[in-house]
Amino acid sequence: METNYLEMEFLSLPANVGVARVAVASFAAQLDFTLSDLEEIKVAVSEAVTNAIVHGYGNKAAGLVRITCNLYADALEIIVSDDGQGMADAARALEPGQGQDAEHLGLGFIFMRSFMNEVEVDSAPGKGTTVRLVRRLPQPLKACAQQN
Amino acid sequence: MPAYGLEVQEEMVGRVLVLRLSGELDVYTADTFRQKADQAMRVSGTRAVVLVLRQLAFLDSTGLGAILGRYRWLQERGGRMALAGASGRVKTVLEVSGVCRLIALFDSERRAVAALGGDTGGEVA
Repeated sequence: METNYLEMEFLSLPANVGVARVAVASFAAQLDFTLSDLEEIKVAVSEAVTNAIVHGYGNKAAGLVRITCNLYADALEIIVSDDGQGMADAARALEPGQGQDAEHLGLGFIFMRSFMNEVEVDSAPGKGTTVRLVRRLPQPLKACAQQN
Repeated sequence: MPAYGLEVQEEMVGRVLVLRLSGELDVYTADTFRQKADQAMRVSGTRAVVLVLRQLAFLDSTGLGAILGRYRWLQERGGRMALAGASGRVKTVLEVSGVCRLIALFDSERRAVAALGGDTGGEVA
């Protein structure tokens, strides 16, 4: 059962990427994430929102990006979705080296997978893209729990 | 340091162009970095560039791509790039991406400048 919920929607402008990652990290801070955890969440959100703007909407203010955050007792779920052009093979996007040119290296999903516990992509041509990210709180060590 | 944005300060140290980045390097600010770095490299004519990341608070894959674009431009012309002073999450992003295996990362600006053959004005810190 979720303990808190956040939803936001904004125009697909690069200026909004920073707003989005700071807002999600501030929301996530309600759980006992460390500052390092929150910085990693910010990178993952930045990647998902940048993908929506750059790949979904062709780097134009052409549509809306939505973020839904569900805060659970032990985890944060982040869902980033757009109504952009989508992609035919979402699974392939998760593979390394799927960049389109020298400066788009396909590292976005590598960072998402490195910094989050779960990453799922749902997309189809003309149907937009939805990325689901989950970051769980670290489990307390049993030895420490027994001592306490 | 800007709350959200990027500032690029440039200085020639001997024959080495030092670019000190402060703020955030992402899809919103990558063009600023590209334009300032490209102009500084063009005006100086140097092929040795140190990027100082000590005051860089945020870096993602778009920012990393902009750095790698400059690195490759230099490499194709026989030039060199070094990074200096990255810490925290910025350093983690460099490590996870494997960029540290391409571009040397130094703890200090002076060491990075010295590695590229610049005059550090004395002992290397």
